[in-house]
Amino acid sequence: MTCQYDRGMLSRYLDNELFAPDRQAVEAHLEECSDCRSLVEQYRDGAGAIQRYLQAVPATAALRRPAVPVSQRWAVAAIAACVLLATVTVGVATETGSRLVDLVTNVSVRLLSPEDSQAFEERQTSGAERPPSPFSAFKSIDEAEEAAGFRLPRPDFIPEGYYLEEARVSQLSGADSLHVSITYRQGMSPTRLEVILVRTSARMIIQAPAEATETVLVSGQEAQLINGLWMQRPGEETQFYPEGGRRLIFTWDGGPAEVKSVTAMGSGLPILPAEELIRVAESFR
Amino acid sequence: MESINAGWPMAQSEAALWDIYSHRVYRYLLRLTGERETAEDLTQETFLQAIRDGRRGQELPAHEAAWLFRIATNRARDLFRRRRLIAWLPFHSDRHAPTVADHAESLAEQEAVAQALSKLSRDDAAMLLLREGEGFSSKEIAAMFGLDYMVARQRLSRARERFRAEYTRMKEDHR
Repeated sequence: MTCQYDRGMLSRYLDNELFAPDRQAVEAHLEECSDCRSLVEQYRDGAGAIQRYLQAVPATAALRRPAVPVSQRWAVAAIAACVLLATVTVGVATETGSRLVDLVTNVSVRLLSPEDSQAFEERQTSGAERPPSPFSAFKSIDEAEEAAGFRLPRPDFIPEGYYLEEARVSQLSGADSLHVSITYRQGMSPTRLEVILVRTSARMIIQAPAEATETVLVSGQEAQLINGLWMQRPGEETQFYPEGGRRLIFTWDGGPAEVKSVTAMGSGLPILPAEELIRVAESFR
Repeated sequence: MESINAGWPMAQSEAALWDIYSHRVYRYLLRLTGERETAEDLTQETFLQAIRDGRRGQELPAHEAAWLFRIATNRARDLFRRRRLIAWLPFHSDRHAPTVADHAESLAEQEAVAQALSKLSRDDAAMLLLREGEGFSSKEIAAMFGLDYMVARQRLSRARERFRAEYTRMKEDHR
């Protein structure tokens, strides 16, 4: 092959990324030059081979849709085993304008993936078996209750249009903590209602700006209403967004419980008013 | 060349996203890493991140496939970075058992593609798999690799030329 024609141009021609005059110039050259015609043929041949190379991959039965835990904002106090967990420091809020509802510690547990990246890497290099997923999703509260091993609420009242999507039980490896999240959805809308219960020997902290927090009554008991959610966008610090959701944190059956209304950031979709959340919480049976 | 992405439905839910794209993402990662378990893990990590990004309401690109493959590519690159000490032994360490459909010719072709790709840098091989195999445009590939369009364009052309030369040679050797 001796022709020195610009191969970058041939490549862009193949990708259909040339404007008309350049394309016509390439086509005119190809008419005359058998070297370049053969080159283009080889590029096409290679592309087809790569396509078939990908298509030859058989499906694997080992793939499972990952379970993604819903709440990442529960902070669990440091207990001895906590060092095994992927931890992030949320920091004790000392600046004015923030208050801790229940301050214990500055260590939180992230409910992210079944393995942190270090464990993943170690397993990859040692060839160890994949651990069982610590997350399980169920289609009914009864099944989730059996997996969780403690009593779960069945709210008598759920706002109109919402249906039970799933109940998820997450176990935090290294900590004796169980996190149950029962999700109700409205069709395909990103708005959801969540009922969350955590059972742990550690104490939890919940941190929110004072102006977003108010004390309300649930069945005559004091509860915390938080108007807003913590969110972290890529490349940004965690921030409190007042419009993304509303949380009601109260005590049920001797442990912490939460009812939360969340929607997608920036969707402009309404979240449930405080009265509805309180109604759901008061209907726990 | 006709884009093979044309007509892919936009996933309407997390389950649909998984159903539509999981195998495509997996096979790309398998060809990139050459290790089935690694590819499976990376696929799940990719979707985990995608689903979390989606739920956060983060602004997502209109082309969901490009977004998923960008996550997958970055996951694979991160892994390679972390496993620097492990040799890069891609492409042919996970040959599946031949089936009736795999006649000798297609196995020889797969072998030649594997060999030719292994002569390229990991990123260049990934770019070719994305361009030729998955049909992404060079603009989409530039975004996936965080490159300027013209830089990506040039790399793609060079990778294609390098692959062509190697692949043609492999095929002739096999004759």
